[in-house]
Amino acid sequence: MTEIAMELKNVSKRIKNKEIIKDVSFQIKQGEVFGFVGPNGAGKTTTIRMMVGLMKLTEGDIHIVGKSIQTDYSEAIREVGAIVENPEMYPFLTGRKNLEQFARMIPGTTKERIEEVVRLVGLEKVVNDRVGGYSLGMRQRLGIAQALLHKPSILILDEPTNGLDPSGMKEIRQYIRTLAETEKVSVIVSSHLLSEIELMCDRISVIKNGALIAVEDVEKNRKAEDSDISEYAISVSNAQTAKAHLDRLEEDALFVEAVDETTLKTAVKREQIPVILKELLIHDINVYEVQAAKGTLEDKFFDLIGENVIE
Amino acid sequence: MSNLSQLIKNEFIKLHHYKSTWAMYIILAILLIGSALITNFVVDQSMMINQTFQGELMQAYQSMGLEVPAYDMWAFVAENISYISFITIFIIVVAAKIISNEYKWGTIKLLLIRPAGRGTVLASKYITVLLFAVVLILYTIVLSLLIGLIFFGVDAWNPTIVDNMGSGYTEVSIIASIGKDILFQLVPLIIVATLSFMIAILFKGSAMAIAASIVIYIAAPIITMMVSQYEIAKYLLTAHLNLQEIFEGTPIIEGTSLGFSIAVLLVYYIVFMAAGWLTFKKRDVAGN
Ligand SMILES: Nc1ncnc2c1ncn2[C@@H]1O[C@H](COP(=O)(O)OP(=O)(O)OP(=O)(O)O)[C@@H](O)[C@H]1O
Ligand SMILES: [Mg+2]
Repeated sequence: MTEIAMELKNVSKRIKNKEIIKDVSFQIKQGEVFGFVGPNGAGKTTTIRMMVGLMKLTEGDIHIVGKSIQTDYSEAIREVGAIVENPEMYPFLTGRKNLEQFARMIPGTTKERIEEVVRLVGLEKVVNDRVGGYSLGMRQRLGIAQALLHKPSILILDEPTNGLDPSGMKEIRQYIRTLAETEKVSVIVSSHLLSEIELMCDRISVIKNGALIAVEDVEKNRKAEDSDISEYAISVSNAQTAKAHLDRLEEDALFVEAVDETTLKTAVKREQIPVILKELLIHDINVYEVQAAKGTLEDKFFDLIGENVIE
Repeated sequence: MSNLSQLIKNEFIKLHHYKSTWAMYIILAILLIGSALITNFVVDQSMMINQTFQGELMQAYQSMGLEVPAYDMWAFVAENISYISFITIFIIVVAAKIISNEYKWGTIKLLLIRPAGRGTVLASKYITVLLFAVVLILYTIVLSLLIGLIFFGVDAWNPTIVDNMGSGYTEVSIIASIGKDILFQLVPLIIVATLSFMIAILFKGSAMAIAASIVIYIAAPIITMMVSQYEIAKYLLTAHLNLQEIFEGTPIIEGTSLGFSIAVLLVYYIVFMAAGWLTFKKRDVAGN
C-alpha cells in the first residue's frame, strides 16, 4: 500500500487580484522523488511557499501526512524539511552553530543527529568554518543538512542545483536519490530544467503560468522509449518527392511527413530504416543524415512548456 | 514552553555574535570609567556636592536633620543611572535589527518553517530585546558599584538620603531612590523599543525603525513643546516619556498626572504590539 505523504487539493493563490496559482491538485507518495518543473515565473516557489506555510492559501488545502497546513500547522510542518529559493543561513555562524540553531527549534533533535547529517551531506571538513565563507555548493549541502535534521517525512528542495557546476549538480542529484532510499523520505524537487530533473525523479509534474499541465511517470516514459516504433528525422535533397516514393512503399505502419523542403519525419521500426534508405537511393534522392529523435521527456513536454507567458 | 526558552537562547547566541553588541558593552564601560576618572581627577567633588545640594533639597536635608552625604560609591551609581538613555538607544537598534536581519539574510524563512508558530518566534525576539535591556542595565549597575567602590569608597551600605518621591521631599534609602530612577527610565525604554520593533516588522527593515524611534526618544521634549498649545498635545506619546518630571509634579503639559500618563502610554503600547503582532502573523513571507 502506498501512503500519501503530501496532498494538494485545489490550491489557488491570488495576490492583488492576480491569480498566481490556479487550482493545483496533486499527490506525493511516501518515498518517491517528485519533480516539479516549470519555466521561470511559473509558480514553483509560490506553491512551495504555500506547502511550508510561508504563504497563506487563497483557496484549497494542503495535507502533509494527513494533517492540514492550515489548521494543524505545527504537526504538519514537523514532517517537513525545506529549502525555499536559496539556502540561506547565518553567515557569521559556523556550519555547526547554524545546525545547532535549527536543532534547538525542534525539540528532540540530538547532537548525534547533527553529526549524522553533517556526514550524510559530506560537510565534515568545513562544518567548523563560518558559513559566510562557504561556496554555493557547500551552502546547498548545509541547506539540505538543515532540512534533514529533524527526520522529516518530506523534503522540499526548491531548485537545489541552481548555480551549481555540472559535477556539483550530479552530486546533489545522486544524494537526493540516496536520501530517498536511506532516509526513506519523499522528496519534492523543483527545477526549470526538465532534462536535469528527470534523471532523479520517479514522477514529474509540469506547471506553467500557475496551472498544473501534466503529471508523468518517468519510469513509464522510459519504457515507452524502448518500444519498437520511434521517430527519425531524415535529411534529403527533396522531401516532397521522397515522401511520394515512400508513401508508395508497401510497409506496414509507415508514417512519413515532410517537415520542410529537405527534412522528412518518420515513425518506424528500427529494421525498416534500411528499406526506406534503399528506396530513396534507388530513386536518386540523396540522403545526408538520419537522426533518431531523443524521445526524452524534454521533447515530450516541449510543446507543453514552451515559453512561459508572463501575464 | 521549553521551545520558547530554546528560541530565546538562539536569539541571545545570535545577538552576541554581532560586533555591535560587544561595542555596546565596551562603550558603557568606557563611559563609566571615563566619568569616574573625570569626577576623581578633574572636578572638585565638594563643589559638585555643593552644586547638587542647593535650595529646596538643601532645606529638606536641614529640616530633617540629615547630613549631606559625601561623594561616594552610591552617588556615583545614582549619577550613572542616566546612562540608561544610552542603553535605550542601543536597545532601539537591537529591537530593529533582531527583526530586520532575518529578512536581510533570508533566514526568516528558516525560522518560520518550524513547529513553533509565528507568535512564539516573535515573542522570543521581543523577550530577548527586553532581557538584553535588563542585562545592560545590570551590567551598568554592577560596573558602577565596582568602579565607584574603587574610586570613591563607601560610607554606609544603605544610607538614607532625601529625594522627591512624588509628594515632595522625604527620607528614603538610596537603594529605593535608585530603583525609582531606574523604573522611570525603563518605562520609556520599553515604549520606544516596542515602537522600533513594530516599525521594523512593518517595513522589514531597520533604518526607518531606528531613525523614528531615536527621534521620538531624544526630541520628545522639543516635539511636545512645539505642539503644547494644542489640545491634542496631551495625547502625544512624547508628552509622557519623561515620567520623572510628571511624578515630581513638573510636566511639560500642565495638569498631566502620573495616572493619565500611564494610561496614555498603555494605549500606545497596546497599539504598537497589536500592529506588529498582527502584521507578523498574517503577512505572507515572499521575496526578501
Ligand atoms: N509577492 C508577490 N507579489 C506579486 N506577485 C508575485 C509575488 N510572488 C510571486 N509573484 C508572481 O508569481 C509568479 C510565480 O512566481 P514564482 O516565484 O512562484 O515562480 P517560480 O516558478 O519559482 O520561478 P523561478 O523559476 O524564476 O524561480 C510570478 O509571475 C511572480 O511575478
Ligand atoms: Mg522559484
